[in-house]
Amino acid sequence: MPKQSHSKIPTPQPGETFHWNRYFTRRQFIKGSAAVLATAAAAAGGIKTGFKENQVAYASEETSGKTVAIPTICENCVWRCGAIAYVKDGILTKLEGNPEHPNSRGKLCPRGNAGIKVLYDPDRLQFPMIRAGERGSGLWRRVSWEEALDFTAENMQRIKDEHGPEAMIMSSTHNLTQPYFENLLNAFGTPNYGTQRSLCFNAMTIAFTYTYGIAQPGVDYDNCRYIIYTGRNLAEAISNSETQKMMEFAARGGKIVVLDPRFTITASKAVEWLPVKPGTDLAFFLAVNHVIVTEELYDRDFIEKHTVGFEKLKEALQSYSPEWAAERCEIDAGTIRRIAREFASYRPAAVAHPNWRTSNFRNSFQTQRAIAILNALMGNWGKPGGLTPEGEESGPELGSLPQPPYPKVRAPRLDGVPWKYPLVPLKYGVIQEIRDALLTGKPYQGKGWLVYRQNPLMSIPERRKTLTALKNLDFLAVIDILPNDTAYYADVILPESTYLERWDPIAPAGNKLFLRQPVVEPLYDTMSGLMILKELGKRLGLEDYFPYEKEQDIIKAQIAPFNIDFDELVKKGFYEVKESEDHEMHFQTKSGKVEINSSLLESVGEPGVPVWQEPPAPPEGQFYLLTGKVAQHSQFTTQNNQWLMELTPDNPLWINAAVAKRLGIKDNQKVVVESKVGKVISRANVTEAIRPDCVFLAAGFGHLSKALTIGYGAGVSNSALHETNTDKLSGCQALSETFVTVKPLNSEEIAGGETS
Amino acid sequence: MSTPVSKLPATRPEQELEYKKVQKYRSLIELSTWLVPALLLFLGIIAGLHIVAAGEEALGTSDLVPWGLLIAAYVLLAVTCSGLCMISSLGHILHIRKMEIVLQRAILLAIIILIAGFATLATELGHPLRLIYVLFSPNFTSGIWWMGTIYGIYLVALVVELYMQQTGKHNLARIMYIITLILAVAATSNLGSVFGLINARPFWNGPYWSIYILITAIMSGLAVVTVLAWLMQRKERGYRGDAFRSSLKTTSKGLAILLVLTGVLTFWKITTSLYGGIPAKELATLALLKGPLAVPFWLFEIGLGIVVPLVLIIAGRSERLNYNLLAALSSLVGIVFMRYNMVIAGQLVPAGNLDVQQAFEGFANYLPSSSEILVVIGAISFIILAYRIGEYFLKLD
Amino acid sequence: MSKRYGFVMLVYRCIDCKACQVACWAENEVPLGKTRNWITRDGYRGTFPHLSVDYLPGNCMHCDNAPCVSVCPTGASSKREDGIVAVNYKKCIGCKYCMVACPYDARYFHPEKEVADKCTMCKHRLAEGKEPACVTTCVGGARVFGDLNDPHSRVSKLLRKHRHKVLLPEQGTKPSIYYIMERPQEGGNLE
Repeated sequence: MPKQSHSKIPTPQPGETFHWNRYFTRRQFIKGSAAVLATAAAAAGGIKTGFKENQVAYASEETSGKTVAIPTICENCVWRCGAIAYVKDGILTKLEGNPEHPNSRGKLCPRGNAGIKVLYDPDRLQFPMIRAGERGSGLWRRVSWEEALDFTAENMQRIKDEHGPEAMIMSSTHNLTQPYFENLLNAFGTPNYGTQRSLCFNAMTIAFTYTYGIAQPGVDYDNCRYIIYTGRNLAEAISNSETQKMMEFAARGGKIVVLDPRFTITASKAVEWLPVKPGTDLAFFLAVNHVIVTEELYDRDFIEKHTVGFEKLKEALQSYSPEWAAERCEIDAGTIRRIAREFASYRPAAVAHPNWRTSNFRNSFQTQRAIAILNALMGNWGKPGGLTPEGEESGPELGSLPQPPYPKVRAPRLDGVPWKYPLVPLKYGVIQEIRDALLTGKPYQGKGWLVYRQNPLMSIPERRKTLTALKNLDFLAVIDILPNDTAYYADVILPESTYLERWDPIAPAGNKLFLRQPVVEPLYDTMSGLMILKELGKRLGLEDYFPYEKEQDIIKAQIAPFNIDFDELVKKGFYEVKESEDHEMHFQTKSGKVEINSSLLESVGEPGVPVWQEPPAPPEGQFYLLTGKVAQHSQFTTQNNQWLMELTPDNPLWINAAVAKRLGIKDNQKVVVESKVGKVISRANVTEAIRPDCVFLAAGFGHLSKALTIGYGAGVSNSALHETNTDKLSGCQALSETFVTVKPLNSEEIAGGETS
Repeated sequence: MSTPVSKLPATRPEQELEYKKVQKYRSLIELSTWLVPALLLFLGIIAGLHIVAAGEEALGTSDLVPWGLLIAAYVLLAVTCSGLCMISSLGHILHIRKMEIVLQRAILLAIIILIAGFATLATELGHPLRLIYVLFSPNFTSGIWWMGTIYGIYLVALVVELYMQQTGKHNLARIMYIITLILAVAATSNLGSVFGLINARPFWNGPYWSIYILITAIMSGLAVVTVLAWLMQRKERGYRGDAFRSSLKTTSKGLAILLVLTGVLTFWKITTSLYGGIPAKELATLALLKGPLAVPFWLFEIGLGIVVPLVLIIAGRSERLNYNLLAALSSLVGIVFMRYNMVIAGQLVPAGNLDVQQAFEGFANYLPSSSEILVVIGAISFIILAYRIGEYFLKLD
Repeated sequence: MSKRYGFVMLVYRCIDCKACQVACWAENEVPLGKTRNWITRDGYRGTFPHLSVDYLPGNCMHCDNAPCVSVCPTGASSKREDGIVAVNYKKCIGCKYCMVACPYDARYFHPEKEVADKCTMCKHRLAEGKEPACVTTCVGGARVFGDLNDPHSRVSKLLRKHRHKVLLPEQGTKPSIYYIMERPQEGGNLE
């Protein structure tokens, strides 16, 4: 380990005031060691209800000097892979995939493997703190949990008393504790719930929900023979088990067609890569559907028995010939026709993958509907090699703790669901609208925000706007494990234990129930999300909604229906439930059938079948700004991970080689990227692997918090560039509808620096 | 450089005063010739200890360029030692009378230089104490094993030779001249093979460096002896001074011949490495010609190392003593870079990149750290100090 | 017959995710900034939109005729009977000759131990009956490990079935890592 002996700042004592930048950037490097554990143990206690009891009895005398294997669940992305933690003398040495877990199948991706560096991140939040200077001044005071929680609850209560509960916004990203976060939200009585969904794959989940009644169907890779991926880059946006299955599928000789403006690694594995013009994949799928319908290549039986609205589709598709599409999507009409025929010839073992975000345009919802319908035309639902009717969080029904009903919500939502976005589910929301409502004060002024495991400053488009919105809040509380960008502007920071130090509710996967449990004692004075939420609830007079004394009480209630021994679950990490043999073809849609023509869409005055919706295109001299993932990072959460940053330390701007030559941009040269709303200085990655009309920036980089000593200064934020463009049907942010100019950096620009 | 004081007729009072001033000045210089190297040696030792303690952090080397300035310095010193020894032995064996007077000192200098070389190498090693495994767990296919072994024996032989000289056992000394000559040739050419045996580094691979190092060893030996003779002729008067001057002219002539030879060797090394454009060879050579080593190569190795000394010697027809001194000094500076360039150029093209289809776009980086540079300066200071002490205590004529 | 461990890399199956590297760093406590294994990007071939690219996973090739073993002055590097090229830290004097001699740049200098270090094929895992960490975690299934002397092992079967190559054959090192560059054909099987 590098020696960092210079000017180390001692950890502040409770009550002591310190400066964010100085403390975090100069404090001693923490490595998992007995000394660290000793301080953590000393710091524990107080109201932190029974970490002691919560301790798994692993670090006992009999295991001294031995490596013990503890099954748990990874949280370095949302895929929830089963992992086995190897711990020696209380120090985590290795994380491996749990072979019993269907999501990991014994393997972990680079992020999963690098979980160790989440636990031993040198910049972790180590104690609760309250702002001690102006917002954003960086002055903080270390406080006790008691004080931090009281302070948070008092402020929330004050806002509730003065402005009503709806003035309090609460937001959280997909996680296992989310049900209890929603408990706090609903019990508190605010409708204003922000999730990551509208910045993510709303278009897909809503389109499939309205077509099949299931948000995120799977693919039967084992029997499939032909898959079309649209902007789904499984090789780099790793969904562990699915990525494994895709590679097995490909190695078997399964056909992969990839539509992507970028030559992604997934595209490099495909039989055919179609560098589609951004936003026009809708035209491609309309034409494919057109060919299949006009040439009658579809599964007539399935269409007749299990779908509604085929005739309307047939009619709507008439004008969408391959020639019509070719003009728009820049894929040869012959190719479209050939692919449609090939694809149909493999049915039902042919799948148009539900993808993730496809092209990130406002028309993506239509694209996803066209894809959902293409699958219906193949009649592949529940068939070998087709789509599998497993929902997003399917699995055995779990037990729960009793709790009172929620109070009635009296105000409309700030994000416009459903009054502006009638089709967006309440649990998804449209978070970028919350930000805008904070700025406009309409329909009413939000006053406070409780942010849980989220970094809105980094994730919501138009970072500058988000920053203003956050600064204008009366109260901002952040629960996180790292001194993140949003946390920097907070009034109070409640440090959570990492996923390797805490209990979480059960996570079902397939027919198994999996357990996340602490694999080491918390290193610092942190608490689990479940306990933080309970303590907040208690102070807000909402204790009845958190009827547990410790985290295990929830787990015990969840497993109650299954007659499982808790200790055995702890030891084994999972429990297998008998699989129900229920394969009846039933769809949870309004009609109970696959809705090729969506009555819901019609009910809000939209066409019931997919129609062409012209995507905007960049004016002369500008580029589509594409975004996407790299295999080594998870959104905005992993840029302080020492190992992952060693592999992928920044996000250079991909630019086509021929275009770069024309603009006089050389590989690795600094470039200025500017959109309507922001400007960043990036590093050019001059490559053949992208369309000439596009540039690409991977997501997650460009952090503002100097306390992230590894991630700060690395790469640039594409949220600083993104314009806010929301699809009125799905609420989905159209990330690719931002157009940018790119030019080599010259001396005047250097003086200007990066703006956000 | 002030004019020799001894030639000043001490007649006029102001001249007398001047003379005293100069005398005082001289003794200051005299003192500083002890103090400055001592100080630099001290700094070198500190830097060396820092390297031993901090390890890799204190070095400019990396996994791509594992061998840096210290290895180059070791090569420089070990080879110079062999060169001195070879000249000494050849001088004695072939009875080159004109050189004899300076050769006595060559052996002492050779021993000191080799010790300095070993010290430099030990600083670079992560675990110098584990050198015992060279004895206990030998690997006979290792070039470095042979190098360590031969140079070890060689050092012992040199000490024996010096002892014979000192104790006046001239017959035995004569045998030692032959033994050390053989060892010097073996050690030097073997040192070349340490590089020549590496298949992974095409720039090094082959017999070239064994021959090159042998030739340049004699060159560096002659350069050192030339400097030594110049210093001695300044100090000594009368017959002895003349003898040194005469010796100086002879070694300079030898130096000129070897400079030409080295130039020819270098020309063909460069030409054969470029010819046909075999990637790793060509790139390593391009690193010298127009890459990161261009300045060390053109300015120092070729310019100061070969062209300038050759011009000086020829211009003075090897008769002008100061020209010869400058030529020798210039070539010694060049030789430092010669060794550096050889060691570094072979590594600047990462071996692992040979298979990449794209042309290799850049060179690996190496710049010596300040500690490395200080150790080398310290080693040279040690040589100066130790030699002066030796001269003081030993009877070298 | 004794075992002869080796790797077969199914290059097509490598997705360049580098899970193998992180797994190795954790398993072998590799110091920050160093690595025992890697994925080499061969570079894109062709121009837009006619492109192809391969990712080559690698680590110490555990050569049968290993230059690092030949050049080591103290025998700290040795070729074991089971095919592993091992480093005995206790004998390493830190001369870095092996690092200079390795044509694959497979070695690094361990900054704390001050010895030359590299892939051990996770021999401690092999002793427990596990595969090397990089193989266990390989998401794409590109890294295959096994006994090259066992005709029934997956590595042997793959080598019989597919054309393969080693890296830098002209170096005469006889590596124990074989690369299968083939892409799957329809109905063909790259498993």
